[in-house]
Amino acid sequence: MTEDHFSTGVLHHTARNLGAQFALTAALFITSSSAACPPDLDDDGLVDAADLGQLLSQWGTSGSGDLDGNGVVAAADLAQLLGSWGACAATPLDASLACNQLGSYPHANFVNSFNAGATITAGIDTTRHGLTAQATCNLWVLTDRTASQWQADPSLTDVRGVPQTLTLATGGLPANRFTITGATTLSADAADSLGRGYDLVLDMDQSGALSSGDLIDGLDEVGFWVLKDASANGTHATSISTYTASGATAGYTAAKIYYPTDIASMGSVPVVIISHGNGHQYTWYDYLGNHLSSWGFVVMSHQNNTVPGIETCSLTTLQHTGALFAQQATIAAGALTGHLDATRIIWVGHSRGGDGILRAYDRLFDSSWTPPAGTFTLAGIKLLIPISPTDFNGRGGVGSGSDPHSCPVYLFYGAADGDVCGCPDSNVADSFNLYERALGDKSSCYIHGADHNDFNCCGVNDFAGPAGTALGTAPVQSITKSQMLAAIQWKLGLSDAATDLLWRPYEDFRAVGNLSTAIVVRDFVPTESGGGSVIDDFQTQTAVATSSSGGMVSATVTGLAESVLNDNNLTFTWATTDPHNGATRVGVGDTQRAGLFEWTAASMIEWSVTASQSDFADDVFLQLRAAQGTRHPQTVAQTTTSLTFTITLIDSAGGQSSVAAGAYGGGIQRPYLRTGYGTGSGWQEEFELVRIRLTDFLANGAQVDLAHIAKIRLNFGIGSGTSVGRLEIDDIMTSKE
Amino acid sequence: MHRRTYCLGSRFNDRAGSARLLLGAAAFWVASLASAAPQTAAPGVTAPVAPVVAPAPAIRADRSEFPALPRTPSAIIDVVVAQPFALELPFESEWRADQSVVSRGWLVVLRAPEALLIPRQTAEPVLYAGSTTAIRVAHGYTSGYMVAIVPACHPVDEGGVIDADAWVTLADTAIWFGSPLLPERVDARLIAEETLAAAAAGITDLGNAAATKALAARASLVLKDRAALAAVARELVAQWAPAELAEAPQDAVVP
Repeated sequence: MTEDHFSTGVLHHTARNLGAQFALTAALFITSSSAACPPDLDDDGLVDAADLGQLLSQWGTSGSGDLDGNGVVAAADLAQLLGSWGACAATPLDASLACNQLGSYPHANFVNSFNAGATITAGIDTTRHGLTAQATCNLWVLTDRTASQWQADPSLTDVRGVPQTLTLATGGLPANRFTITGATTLSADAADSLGRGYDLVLDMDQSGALSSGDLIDGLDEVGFWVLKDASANGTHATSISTYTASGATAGYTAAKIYYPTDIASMGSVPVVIISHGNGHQYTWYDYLGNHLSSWGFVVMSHQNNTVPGIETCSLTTLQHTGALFAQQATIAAGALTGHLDATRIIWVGHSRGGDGILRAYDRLFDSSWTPPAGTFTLAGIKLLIPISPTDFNGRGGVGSGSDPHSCPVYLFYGAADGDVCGCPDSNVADSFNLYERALGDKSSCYIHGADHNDFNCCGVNDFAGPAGTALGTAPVQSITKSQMLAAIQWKLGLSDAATDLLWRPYEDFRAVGNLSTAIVVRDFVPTESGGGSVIDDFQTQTAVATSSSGGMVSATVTGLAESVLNDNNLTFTWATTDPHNGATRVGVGDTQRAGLFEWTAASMIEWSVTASQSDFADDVFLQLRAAQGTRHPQTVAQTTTSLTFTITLIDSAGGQSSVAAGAYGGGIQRPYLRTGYGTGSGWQEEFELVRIRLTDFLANGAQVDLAHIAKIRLNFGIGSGTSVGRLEIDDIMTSKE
Repeated sequence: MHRRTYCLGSRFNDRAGSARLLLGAAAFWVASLASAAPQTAAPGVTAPVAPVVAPAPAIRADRSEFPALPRTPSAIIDVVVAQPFALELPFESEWRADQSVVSRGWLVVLRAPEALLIPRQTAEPVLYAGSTTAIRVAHGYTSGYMVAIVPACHPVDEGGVIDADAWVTLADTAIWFGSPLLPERVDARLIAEETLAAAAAGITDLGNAAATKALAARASLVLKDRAALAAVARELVAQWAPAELAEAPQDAVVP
């Protein structure tokens, strides 16, 4: 699905300057060729005298003629050039093709994943890719190949038996969206992966082989995935056993283990450990144990010493984790021996147990608890999954605190939680404190109508939402199973098939078994180290007019401010003295900040991009997260449940392109209409991700140079989206897949 | 209620302290036999039991409202069962910040207002007994009966001298729910504050009649250690809050 963004960015810049489609088309393949043909120094598709002259002119210096990258143009470079004399071998263009059709710009949603049985469209942006109208070509659906496999074998074999012949039409992308025949019957079977990967090739010369001039979706990576139902069981039967953990706190030694019945035929298996909450039982999570073990994981749920507090339950999590590895030879009659992977451990904790797993991680991080020798280490903990956790400790310091540090976090929360309520009068009840505290990749799943004990089988009914909005335990657990599986596969690198489930709007994409009418708000914040650039996270620059990356911020929206994400009083009633009303997201010791503003007429906010960050061409997404202001007059005034606006990229030459935040479905969800803590209705703020594929800004011939972005602008109001509104906004950044 | 008592703290957590505890345990054992007229039971063996009253109807799990946190301090309704115990191997309780040592006390089944029995993830009202924190074994939200371990304390005279050879009786022990907090954060200073607040609220010691009635049901026990105590506690959970058995402390998986 990844495209050669650099070449496409340059292309459009060139095309705009020359104003000629001919130049666009020519440049496309020249640029693509030069990337694969380094001695072609002048990018004309040939290695000839002109290139030789250019190389010789750089002799003894560094420059483009330094073909071996040793810092100086010398004899070895000359030899390489002479060895490549003649025409460069052209390559096909890596382009996004598999998509869902959209009713408005950018006309197609080029996604990674489709559910099995879904309709899949091939979206061919003839304008952008310089393809000739009326051309006849063949569309091939193939089993995924790596780049090296394509190089070794460019022949085309369609999994449907025969390719599909298309005739391109005038009108660009909107006129060239073709339903892929037979897509609804594509297999999703792929062992323990959530899906099967396919490549899509537009064979322009109908040669039956991948060749110059063809378009391919999936040259380097998978073109698209067809997913199994992530909420349904996987392929393994589950075996269940119980055991007593040696060395655990007296009275809290019992554990239940779920594992693939055929584990003997498997290698090292990741381990998921479940730590229950207060008044809960270790036997209450069968739905997770059975589900995850059927997908090839070993799952252990243990007694958790939660009533005294977080220190005690974090200790039982640590003790049981160590005991599982230490005792594997005797658990389940030794069936697990040699199959438990101590380098791939996931801790799942519910409520106090969720607080406890973060405290346990912090204790490992601070070396205030040392695992038994030969069992596990801090580095083995790959993902923390708190479910509606408490936050008794706050960030803390060395020897205290529930701090995930840089460990990835995936958080579940139910908006109708009557216990860990997200209320403004207690940091302990604010689950999102832990989430905002995380420095690593983080993602959350906020489920309207779910209560605290919907996440286990048997806890008391604590539902505290408006009448008629209860989602019910079965739908909540269906969502939990699929999202947890996706998060685990994502962070363990088992499959990229599931990542769309983490960040695409729920309205747009969800597991087949999930309730389509449920309201689920997804957030996803990758670390900067994972690629991309943070334009503004509101942390390091406190001045409103300056972004955290140092660029200027200008705006016509009203009430623009930025400060700590803290509801500063005891109610959710809107008050001007509490600008972050509903932002129950910082605990003791936390300093996470965000921006906020409102509008009642057409208005905008614009970030200048610094020169060092202006090249978006190698990035994949532009993203931000936003939340509607709880019980704010402009939130109350809205007549729709999702707020939208428009995002515009502006390049250094003034070229620009805009995409509506709601183009892909949804928008920024209105807060759950729960009452209490003052007048009105609306609960805590719900940060929701807006993530746009950067190449969508290039759709259908849009003229913006991704390699030289100067500004990012958000437009609000009539003509751009919802007419009035109030937003908190954070983490404006580019990111990679 | 105004009696000053002392529950063993970390200063007894040494070899000499343990020896003194064991000596004290023997004395307590005799005293319990005398005061409660218990059935005879060998150490580590549970005596036959009979319920004092029939368990109340189970609290519905499909309640439409999660009960609000009650005001504290709050008195319990009554103690329906109290079973004295003494341990050969005392244990440090993680239910206090100062990790007090538990060598003897009572396993109790008590009734309390429903809102105090519902497990909460946020801070729960701490169950106090005398001058220490009790150890909850079963919340009791499914039946209305909480099962807990009440550590025994030493009396303190007017001069502040601790009588380490004597033990406060159950009759002279107040049991109540104090301010919401994690028990692991409760220390002696806080216990003193909560005790004063309880007294001000009119919460009194259990008294002879109530204690005698509660103690009549089960025999005193001398048990080896915490694990053995947990096993007996589980019997009470099985009888009074059976739906919470899997939640109760145990040291072996129960089929």
